Amino acid sequence: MAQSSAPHDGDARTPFLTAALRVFDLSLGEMLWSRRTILLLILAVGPVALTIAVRILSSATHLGPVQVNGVRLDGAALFGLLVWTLFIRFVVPVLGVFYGTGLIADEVDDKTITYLFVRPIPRGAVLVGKYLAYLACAGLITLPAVMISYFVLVPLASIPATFPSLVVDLAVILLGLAVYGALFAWVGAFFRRPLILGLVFVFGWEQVALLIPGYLRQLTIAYYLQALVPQAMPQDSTLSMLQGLFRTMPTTMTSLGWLAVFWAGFLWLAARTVAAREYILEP
Amino acid sequence: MTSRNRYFLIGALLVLVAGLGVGVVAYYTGALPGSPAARLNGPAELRYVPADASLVAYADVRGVMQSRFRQQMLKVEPDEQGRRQFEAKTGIDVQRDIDHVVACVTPGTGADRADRSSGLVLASGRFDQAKIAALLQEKGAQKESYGGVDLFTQEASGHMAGLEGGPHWGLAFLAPGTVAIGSLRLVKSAIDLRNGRGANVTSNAELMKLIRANDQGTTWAVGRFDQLREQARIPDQVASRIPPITWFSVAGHVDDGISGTLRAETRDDQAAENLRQVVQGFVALARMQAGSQPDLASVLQSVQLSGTGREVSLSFAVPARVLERIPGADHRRDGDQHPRP
Repeated sequence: MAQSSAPHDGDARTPFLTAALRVFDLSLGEMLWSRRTILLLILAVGPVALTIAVRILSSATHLGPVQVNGVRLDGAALFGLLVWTLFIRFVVPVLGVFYGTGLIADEVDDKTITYLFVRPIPRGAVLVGKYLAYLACAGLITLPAVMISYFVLVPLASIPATFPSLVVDLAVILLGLAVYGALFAWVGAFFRRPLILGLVFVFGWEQVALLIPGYLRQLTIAYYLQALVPQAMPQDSTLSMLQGLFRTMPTTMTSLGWLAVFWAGFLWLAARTVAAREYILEP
Repeated sequence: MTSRNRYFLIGALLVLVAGLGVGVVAYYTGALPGSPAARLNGPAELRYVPADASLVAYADVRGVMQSRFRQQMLKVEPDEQGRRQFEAKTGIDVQRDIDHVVACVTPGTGADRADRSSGLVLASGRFDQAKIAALLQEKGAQKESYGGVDLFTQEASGHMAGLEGGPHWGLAFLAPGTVAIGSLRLVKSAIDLRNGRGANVTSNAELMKLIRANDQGTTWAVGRFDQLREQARIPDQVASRIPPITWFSVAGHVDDGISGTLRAETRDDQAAENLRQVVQGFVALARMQAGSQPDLASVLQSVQLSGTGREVSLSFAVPARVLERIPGADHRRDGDQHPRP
């Protein structure tokens, strides 16, 4: 027999923020020690292991420094490549999809959402608390991994010159996790098959829209994120250079502004959807 | 919160805080204590460079001379006429005697800067002072004492004309293993700075920031582009077409091949964006043209354009295999002076 979880925000007695923090506390433990964390660990530890392997191999006298297309890459350039191609273009969106879409959808699938909704707390606080737990969980695993990769790859002598870029990279990764997480929290709360939709958005829509000249790329998150870290963006082909000629990169303030709008808008939409929607729990 | 979660949070935050702490210390001190980059304020010779320098450059001469790149260049241009002329004039063999050099250019001293700018080269290495002094005097140089240092002066001509800032150039040994050669005004200024009179370039915060950022390569140069442009007396029609660049820096590493990074800081964000687009256009055009030349294509492939805000940065690398194919390098190999049939 199907159960219904009808909206009932009228009985919320706990303040929103207090309720969100309680849900955060509860959800953080669940997220940290869940099966999904294995994926997170692979995504975070993988690049660290890769950088250690690269460092060991390049230190070996018979191999020398890493070369791409016959061009030597120093530690800082290699780290920039790693941040751009692996973290910003892959790890961040994938974590956003897998964690964000699962915030509410997992509770619905496990039929445990009722236990959260019967508590005397605003429904929106459930989503916000879970979202904060995702951000803490993903951020506190990904950012240290980026930090360790930096110190493994970049020589001590280059740290004074490259450290500001690392701070920017860390901030952009955290911002990416926040915005992608907010978007997919809403997708998870609103759509029936959020994981598929999320993967299509990240690996389909964003990839294609960024290549098409015109305004479509403004409907992606990657467009604004990449404008914040152009120092890490590789331009390794004539095609990408030519695309660059026709590409107007948004300014830092424009990018930050739009990312803030996306973040606040999708988080509000997600909280609103959870508060207003009646979830039917299939038997 | 369970203790398990608490330990995780504390552990992750510790890694982040420790990493950021180390980075902040390195950023503000210029290097990590004990690291190879612990040269906090660039080369020691900067203390002889005046604070108003518009261009400061450094070259690890020993590193460049021993590099494979130079061996390739010797095959192309084995005469090295300039080096021999310099040795004949000063008694200093660049290849044998010098470890590294620091050079600087300062603006003219006139109110409207209409007079010529001055140059100074500070060389560090092993110098036979007595032999060099005798040679200079033999060539007609005048010896005088200035600030407790023997100063040799001579009319500027030939190759030394490039260093002149007035009618004379000068040479003085500022310390054992350090010689200053250049315009008389700047050599005297270096002696003054040695004796603690005046401000040296380490007090110029803007310039030192750029020097610290670039002081890792075999060669580098940093400077104020706008001041150099003023001194160059470029015609207005040409000057109006030059992007409004304020600061620039060039850092290169010479070993098997050459790699380097050019950075420019423009007057505003819009000027930087325009400059990025122009450079991007040229690079894309060059890449299309270089399709049939694999060596040139690989060099152009290495060109990376980046930068945010007012900064534009262009990095490049010329691999050793490209240098080996420079016309002239191949047929002069192993002493063979005749072109291949």
